[in-house]
Amino acid sequence: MGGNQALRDAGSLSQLLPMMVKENHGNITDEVVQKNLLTYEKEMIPRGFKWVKASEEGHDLFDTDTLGGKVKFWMIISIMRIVKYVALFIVLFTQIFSGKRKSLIERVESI
Amino acid sequence: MGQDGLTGLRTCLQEPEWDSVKHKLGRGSKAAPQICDRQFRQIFDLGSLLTYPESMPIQRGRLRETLLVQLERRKMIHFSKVVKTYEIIREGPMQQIRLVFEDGTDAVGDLVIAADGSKSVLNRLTGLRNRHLTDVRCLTARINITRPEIVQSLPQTLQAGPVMLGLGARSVCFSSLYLPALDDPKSIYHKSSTLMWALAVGADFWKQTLGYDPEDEYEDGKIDQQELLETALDLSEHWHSPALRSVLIADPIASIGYGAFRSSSKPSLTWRREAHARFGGDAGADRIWFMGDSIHAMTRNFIHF
Repeated sequence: MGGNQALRDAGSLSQLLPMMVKENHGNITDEVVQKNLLTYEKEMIPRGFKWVKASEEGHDLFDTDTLGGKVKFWMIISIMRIVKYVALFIVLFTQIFSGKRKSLIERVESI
Repeated sequence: MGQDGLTGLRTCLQEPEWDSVKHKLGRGSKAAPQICDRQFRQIFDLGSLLTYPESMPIQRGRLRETLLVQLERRKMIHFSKVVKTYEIIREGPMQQIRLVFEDGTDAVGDLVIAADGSKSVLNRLTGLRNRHLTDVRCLTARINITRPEIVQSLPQTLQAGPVMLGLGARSVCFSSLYLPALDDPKSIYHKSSTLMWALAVGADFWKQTLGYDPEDEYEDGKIDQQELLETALDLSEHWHSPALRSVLIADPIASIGYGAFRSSSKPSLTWRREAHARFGGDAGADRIWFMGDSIHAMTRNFIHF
């Protein structure tokens, strides 16, 4: 998860930085830096920390030492089993209209 | 490697390197982990959730080699440089930044991209200081599979895809078999198959069972590989799982490492102003931009909703 977000940051920077240099003809003043830094952090901080939160919650799922922990674990598993069938139905239904979902690589290459 | 990681690579890499990454992605197994019990029996397959984010395995070392190709060709990368400090150079209307390294050398530029990981020196120097140690310690190992029978002797669930099992006391095991793109269509057991496992162990459990916290013991970072494997096996005795033990020692270990999980708190968009007000000097410099674990360090977890 951490590696994925780092690479996503690299992708954002590889688009933003050449644009910043080109638009300002290489004259990287303090104002230019501040403006682009704000653009970058406004996108990167919420996205990155969404995954920080998710990673902590994911680990907590396996705290099954107490009765409460066991109940929580099996409740989540049960919910996921229900979600599985609901999602299966929705996907099968939408496939009729939009076709089969592309593979991960195909989706990345079409961005 | 999930969609975000692949999108980042697709954006950054030139066509030959992107093709090389695609070729190295493992395709022989499921794209999402299966939650199992301690005997590797499946409880729930996250891959059966059609909305679960897909991912594909790739060996870290091989990915690193690909990422270095262009940088080494252009002689743009220098290894073993450790940042000691930085200073802002003010000349006229435009600032620059100088990084000073521990070996006494320095480098001057318009911007510094801090990609120095979860132990980032720049995170501390700029005054961001948003990381913290969690209560989970992790051992990670890689095994190069030498014979096809070894793959066949692994639990069926692990042969089918990545596996995670809860071990109690904040401890989780994750294991995955990496089967690269097939070169022999008749066999799924490629000659360069590897098995990785990670034991994320609750700090209290580690202390109770082995009598110490590895964060105190492994402070200098020099840890004997054999000692780490024995530590993993000592810990595994408490989980009463012969299946787990057989996975840990399926074949001789190629590499094993230790690291505590680190996490981070979300900074506000005005953190630089606040850091400058608190620490003064060049703290909170606008010319240092953070990426990856240097700002959003996260627990290496293998499950996400």
